[in-house]
Amino acid sequence: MRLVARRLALYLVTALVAITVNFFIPRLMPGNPVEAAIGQMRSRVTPQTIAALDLQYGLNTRLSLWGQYLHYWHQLLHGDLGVSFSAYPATVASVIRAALPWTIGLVGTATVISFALGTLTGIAAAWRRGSWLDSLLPAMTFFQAAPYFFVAILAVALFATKLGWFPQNSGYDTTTLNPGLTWPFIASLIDHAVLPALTIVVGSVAGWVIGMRNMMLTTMDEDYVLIARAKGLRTARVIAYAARNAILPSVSGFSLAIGFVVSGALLTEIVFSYPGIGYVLYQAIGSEDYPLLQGIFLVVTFAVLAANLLADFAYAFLDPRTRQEG
Amino acid sequence: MSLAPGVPMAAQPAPSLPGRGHARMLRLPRSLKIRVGLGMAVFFTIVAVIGPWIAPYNPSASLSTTSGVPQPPSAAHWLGTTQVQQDVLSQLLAGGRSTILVSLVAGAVATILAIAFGVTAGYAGGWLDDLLSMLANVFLVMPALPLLIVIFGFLSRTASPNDVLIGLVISVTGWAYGARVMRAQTLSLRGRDFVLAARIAGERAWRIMAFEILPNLVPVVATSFLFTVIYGVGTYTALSFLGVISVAHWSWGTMLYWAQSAQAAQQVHIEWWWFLPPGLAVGLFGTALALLNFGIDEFVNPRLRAAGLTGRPRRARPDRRAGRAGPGGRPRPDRPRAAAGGAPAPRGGQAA
Amino acid sequence: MSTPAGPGPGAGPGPGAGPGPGAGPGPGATGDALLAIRGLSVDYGSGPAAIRAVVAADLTLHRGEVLGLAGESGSGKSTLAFAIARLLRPPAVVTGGQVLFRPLPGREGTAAAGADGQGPRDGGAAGPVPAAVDLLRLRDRDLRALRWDQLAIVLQSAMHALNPVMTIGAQLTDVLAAHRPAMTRAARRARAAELLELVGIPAARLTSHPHELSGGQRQRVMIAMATALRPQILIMDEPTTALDVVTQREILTELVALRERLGFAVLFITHDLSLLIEIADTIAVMYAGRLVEQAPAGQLYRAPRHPYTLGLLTSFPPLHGPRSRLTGIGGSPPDLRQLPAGCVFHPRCRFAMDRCRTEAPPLLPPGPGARVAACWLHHEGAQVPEELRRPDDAPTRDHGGQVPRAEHHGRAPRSGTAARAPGPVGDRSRP
Repeated sequence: MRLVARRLALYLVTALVAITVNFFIPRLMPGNPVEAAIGQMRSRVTPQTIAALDLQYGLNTRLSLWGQYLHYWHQLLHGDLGVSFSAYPATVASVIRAALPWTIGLVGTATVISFALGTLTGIAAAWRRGSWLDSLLPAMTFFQAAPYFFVAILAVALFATKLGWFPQNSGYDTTTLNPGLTWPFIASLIDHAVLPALTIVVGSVAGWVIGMRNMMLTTMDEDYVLIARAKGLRTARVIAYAARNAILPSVSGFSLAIGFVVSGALLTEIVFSYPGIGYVLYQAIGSEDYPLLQGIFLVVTFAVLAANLLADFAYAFLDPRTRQEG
Repeated sequence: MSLAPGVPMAAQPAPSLPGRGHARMLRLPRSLKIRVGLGMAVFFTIVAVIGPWIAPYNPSASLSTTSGVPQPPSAAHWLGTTQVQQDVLSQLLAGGRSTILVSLVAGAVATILAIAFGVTAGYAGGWLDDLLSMLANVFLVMPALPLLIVIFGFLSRTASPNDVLIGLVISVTGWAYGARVMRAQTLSLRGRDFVLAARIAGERAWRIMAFEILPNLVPVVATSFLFTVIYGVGTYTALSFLGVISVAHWSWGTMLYWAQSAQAAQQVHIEWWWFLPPGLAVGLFGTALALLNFGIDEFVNPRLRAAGLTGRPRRARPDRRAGRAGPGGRPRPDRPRAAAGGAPAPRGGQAA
Repeated sequence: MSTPAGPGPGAGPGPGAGPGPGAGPGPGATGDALLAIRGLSVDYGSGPAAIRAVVAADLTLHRGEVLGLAGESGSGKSTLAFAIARLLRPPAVVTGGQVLFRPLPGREGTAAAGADGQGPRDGGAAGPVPAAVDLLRLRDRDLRALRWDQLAIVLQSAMHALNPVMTIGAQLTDVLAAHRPAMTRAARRARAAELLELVGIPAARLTSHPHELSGGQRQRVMIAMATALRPQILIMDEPTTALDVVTQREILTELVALRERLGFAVLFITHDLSLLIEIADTIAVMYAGRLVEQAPAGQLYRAPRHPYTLGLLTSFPPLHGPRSRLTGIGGSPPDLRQLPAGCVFHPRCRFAMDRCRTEAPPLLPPGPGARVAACWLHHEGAQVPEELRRPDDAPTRDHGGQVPRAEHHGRAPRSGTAARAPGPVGDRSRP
């Protein structure tokens, strides 16, 4: 498990860098807008809160930079991300906690579907090189190049507004239902998730298709695939010989893709007013809720690192060469 | 494997182009993908340059105060108007310059960073390689958009944004992938005879990197540039769409911001003329660059070509598996001559 | 000289090459021809830009024979081999010819002779010869059944020929699963273990992955895999080139032993003519996609008839005997896109005549004997140089190369008890 250990070290460093960058950004920016924002809050919050915010942003404090940094770590380790400006008195942590399950459910499902669908299509496109699947590539390239949220806008306009097949926004029917493990609620949940999920799949699938197709084409020229054919194995088995190897770069390239997919998914949520992290982020930008912005940055970073770690375990499982000790 | 774990195989040294390849590439737009991609990219670049001058109206001006409803395309407004009666076509033309300028700056700066980090890491090896690779990997796994949102969030939004500065900030998050590819490529070139010869001749490290190694990285550099320009367009548009960059600064992203704020896609009469042009522009510009990228990939790796697109035979490969090194690095003795294509030395043609 | 190998293709029946014991079915009858390649041509690409990688090749592989195919890089020898097994990949296309495979009568297994509806299970070696099938026209399903069961392949690099993400065991057993559906999982496992032991690898290695084995072990695994279904033909494409000399010896020894035991025929492809002289019964030499000479190994070595063969023979030191001057071949290998007119070898041939520059020579017997060469020098009116005129049974070569392989290597095909006299390869006991 050396690979996983090394990657784990990378993620720890990355987390460290992210946390530190998060600390320094407000302090390095010219004309710190936080001060004004805190000033506006002065009338409606307690002096303790103001003091805590001042400390969080290094304003009006005698504490050294190092002292502030240690304090920042202390808060962080206690799960304290500060208070939200816009949702005061709610804390950043609680706002994020409420939104996170929505995003994980939506993005997680869409990513798995996209990866599976894209990989299988890529295999088919490579095996039948020059078939109609290849003619899909330019269209897929467009959806890959177009921003997710534009695809989302198109999806809303066509399937929700024009055709009325799906609801236009929100995570469930908020007017008549209460969250709970009831059938109408779950049905409403799925009904509201289909279109955003579809958007994320359409936006991200081309990357997997193209990557897998190209890797398959390269792998199919390998001797072991030739030998598999020479062995008289069934076609499906021959394809499996190639695919088992060709999928490895896709899995290890997951770390590259997941950041894009998550970012794209956050923007998709905005278009659908889906009550996840992306929508909260949008509102935080609009209301200049700096603590919330920063909290979201950290949480998304950690989530992406966790997804990466999962992909690494999968890779180690799929490639026996990495399992070798020493 | 000596490669850093997780380096995708695709990032491993692609066959580098022979010196003669540059000349061939210049007169090669035989590939349909390259031709279409190039044509579209040139078109968009022209729009970026002349767009603001040929825009029929001031993109920010409310041309009428009588209506609060976006007007569909008409003779006066080819692409209709926004809610406050701004001309969409003018916004599109004016916004193109900012969008393309930012993405080109981001792509160029990121590529320069990628070359600097990647080639240095690959050539130097040792602790410097470890350090730079670690840095690149950190930037690769850290989600860029949330980071950029935080950075731009704290930048004052009252000052008029500077496109070059925006491009620079975006490039900071976009260089890592290119650096990794170039590091891998440099690593494979480092052991080649012509580099060893230059080292033995006492050539200085920067000269070897600049004149021996870099010319062999041309396809990788081109791919990396296109990749980061695409990244730049997407990221800049996303940031503008979110409203972290001044929403009064016209770009295709800000157009989408206003369209989304007005729920243009959710209205009973869908205001398609508002969100479709900027979205299509972003998508088509990205597609153009992606097509160019595919063209280069296929040029470097002929196996990727779809059978239908190229009628002519790819390369003469009388015995398959041209010159692959066997285990232990011994080249296959059965290396077919024709496959070498008359390109023995992988040199860039520059004098040592 | 007792090599019973039949005459070269297109040459018609020649008089028996020597007093060999039991020369098999009568001369001329292709009864012992296991694989007959007739006029096989392969192009790379199509249209005017096509490159002719193999041009009208005629070659016959007899039962139990080791047929060596030699040539420089790019001479088309691997292309020819892959064309036989229909394993060419685009842009390579077979443009003509036949590959006639004649399965052994009465052989158990899934012989694919079913293509013409004639089961070969009439038993008894003396039974009627089953009809030959043209591998190039076989239906996909029949081809799949025939592959590996009758015709297996070993490639140069076992590192690349073995799937890196699958265990050795899985790659051995999937052949059995595909071709012997009646076998149980346990039986397949046991058979795979047995196969590994046969090539000197502990059965515990079944659970290993290719990267955990040494280069020699990997190639042994490939050979074990190739013999798993007891095929009649083994195509070996530079099987030892990637290995060090010691391992190369061991593998060849292994191969010779296995062949004695299982009796398969081998098409052995290599650029290393000296190796072929040691292990092959018959050698065919290719140049620029054309067969230029074919002869029993000893004859080819002692008395080459084609200037190119002569060049090859003088470009490596004899393995046995005193050193001699190496002359090699001048010039560079041909560019298949721009082949010279006439004999493709003439620009590099020191004996080239006017005729060679305009007319391509046919592959014909240069004299009495079971051999053929494509060279105008052996036609009427030409002065045959002394080097190309040695008698077939010349004792030794003037540069001192000792005949490395004694007369004993000839053996009757399918004669169960092959001559046991150790050859230079066979006498080395495996470590």
